[in-house]
Amino acid sequence: MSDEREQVQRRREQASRRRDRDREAWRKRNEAARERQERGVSRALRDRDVSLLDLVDRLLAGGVVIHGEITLAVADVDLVYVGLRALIASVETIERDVGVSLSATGPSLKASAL
Amino acid sequence: MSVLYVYAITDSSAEPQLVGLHGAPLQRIEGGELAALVSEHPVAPELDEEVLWEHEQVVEELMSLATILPLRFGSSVERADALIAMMAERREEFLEALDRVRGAVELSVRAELPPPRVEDPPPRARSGTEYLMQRAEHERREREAVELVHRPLAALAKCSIPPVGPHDPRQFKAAYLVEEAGVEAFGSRVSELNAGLEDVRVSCTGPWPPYSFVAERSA
Repeated sequence: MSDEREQVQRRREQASRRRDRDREAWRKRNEAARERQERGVSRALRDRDVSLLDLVDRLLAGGVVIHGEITLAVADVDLVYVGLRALIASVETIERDVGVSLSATGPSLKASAL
Repeated sequence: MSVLYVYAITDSSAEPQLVGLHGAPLQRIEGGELAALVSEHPVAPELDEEVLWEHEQVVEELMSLATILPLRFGSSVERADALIAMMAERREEFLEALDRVRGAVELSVRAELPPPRVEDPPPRARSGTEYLMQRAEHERREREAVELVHRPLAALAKCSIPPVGPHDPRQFKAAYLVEEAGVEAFGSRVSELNAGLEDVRVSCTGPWPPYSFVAERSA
């Protein structure tokens, strides 16, 4: 049991050292990121192919959830989710029926190997 | 009365000079060792597909700057003190999750698996027992196909959300938490699977912020 506590303590110390390194890296990357943002270039769209399917699965079903009354706009999210799932379900159905991948035709729907 | 739209929780102390939704500047709300990254809006931002991409872009920029836990899309709160209280209440959970995802990114894998191979034409099930045995055999072969893709990829990941096929067991879907340095090797393994496995089409997207690994539910 105490071994476990020591381990946790060690992990925390390592994490704190990493946080210091993070801080330095953050400063350096901040500039670059801000520049990208100012140029209005979306990394998601420019640098790689992203599947809308994966995006929806992650943003609308993953991530930290704030519980309780302090959250707002939950109804809106449900609507977005339902709307996009419906769109995606139809894409999936077409893919299955036609036997081709529509996901390879548009930039926002394209899922490819890394 | 304004609204705080929340993107992520971090344990990094630096100040991101970025803008959030609708060009609103990002702010930090401090909560002990943690901080929430938010933008302030007169009313809660309307949520649609456009905003979904905008949100993702902000979170990706943050991910390139520090270790973060992304929030579920559309999380806004009315008051900063509610957010601070939440960070205090769930401090252990968040610190643990931050440690888990530090230096790693999420990769998403989908695959279409071939139908299980059947050696002999399946005889008509004559009894309930026979039917159940055939079904069990069918399911075993399906599990084997899943493992063929999952096992070699899981071996390259810190942890993974095991494959699920809620409707169709042939539709493989899984998430892997991979060290940044290991992303390339993971991509190569995906290509190898595509080349080596007949009738299996594997696709991989990422790196994503660790949306699927913010909670302890992975293997």
